[in-house]
Amino acid sequence: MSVAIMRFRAGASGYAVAAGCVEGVGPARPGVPHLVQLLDARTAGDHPGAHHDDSDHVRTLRLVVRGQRLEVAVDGPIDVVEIARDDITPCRSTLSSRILGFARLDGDMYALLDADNLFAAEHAPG
Amino acid sequence: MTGPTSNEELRELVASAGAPVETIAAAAATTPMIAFRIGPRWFAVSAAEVREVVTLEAITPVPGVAQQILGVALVRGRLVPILDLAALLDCPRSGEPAITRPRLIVLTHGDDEAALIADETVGVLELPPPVSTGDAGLVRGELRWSTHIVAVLDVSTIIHAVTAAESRS
Repeated sequence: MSVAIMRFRAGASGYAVAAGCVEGVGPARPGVPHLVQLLDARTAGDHPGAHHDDSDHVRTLRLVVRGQRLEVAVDGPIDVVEIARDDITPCRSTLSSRILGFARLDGDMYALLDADNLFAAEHAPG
Repeated sequence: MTGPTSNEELRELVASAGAPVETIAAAAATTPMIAFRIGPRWFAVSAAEVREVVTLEAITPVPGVAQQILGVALVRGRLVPILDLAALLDCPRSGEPAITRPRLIVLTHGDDEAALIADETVGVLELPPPVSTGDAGLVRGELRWSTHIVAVLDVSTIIHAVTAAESRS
């Protein structure tokens, strides 16, 4: 079994989401929340565009899950790759309802986002 | 290359790859631990005894409980007692301020659970066994991680402290 994912970065961390959840990718737009903010994942050096000198690498993802749409800003580069079971790093728990698990690709670790729970994050109070 | 995949398919793939983490830990002679910072001091607890790490939302004070219990917090529908570890260990609260909102580390031992408030967490690390400091109590020992001395906590003792305090109140 293998699945296609879209991978990208948010600050210092790599993330990916099921490719089927991505309706489109566009340029950065004001007012679109960054994934770092959505995940409240800010750590030292972990801020939008942390790997880049400017915001040219910020893109807007349009996600669709179960008919709901969510726009979120992420940092590039963005690409679509296929992952298999062997790419998944086993772990007892990801410790976050927003992360399904972790995949190691090309030496980098990517957190596999649970798109369902991203929508919950977007609509959470506060 | 398959076509675009759904969130459910990705979830299934991750679930199918879920080999027990103990196997890896045994081979490497290390233990998965969650490391975290309270003020200037670093601590770690066994990841097996951490139910989850969540963003601290609100603490509801509970009148009449022991001083080391800050109150309770609602975590996924459960009320979890919050232990003031800094006060219990006489840990100074100064240090690098939290960049994110404080984290709540929910510990579990048997059917009991309690939570600690951390300024910063660094997720699951594979760490060697701690060197005993000779002190019985909350701290099992210490180890070095990166540039930090990390005190490894005994979760069962922490939770016992909470349940004992609750029973006294």
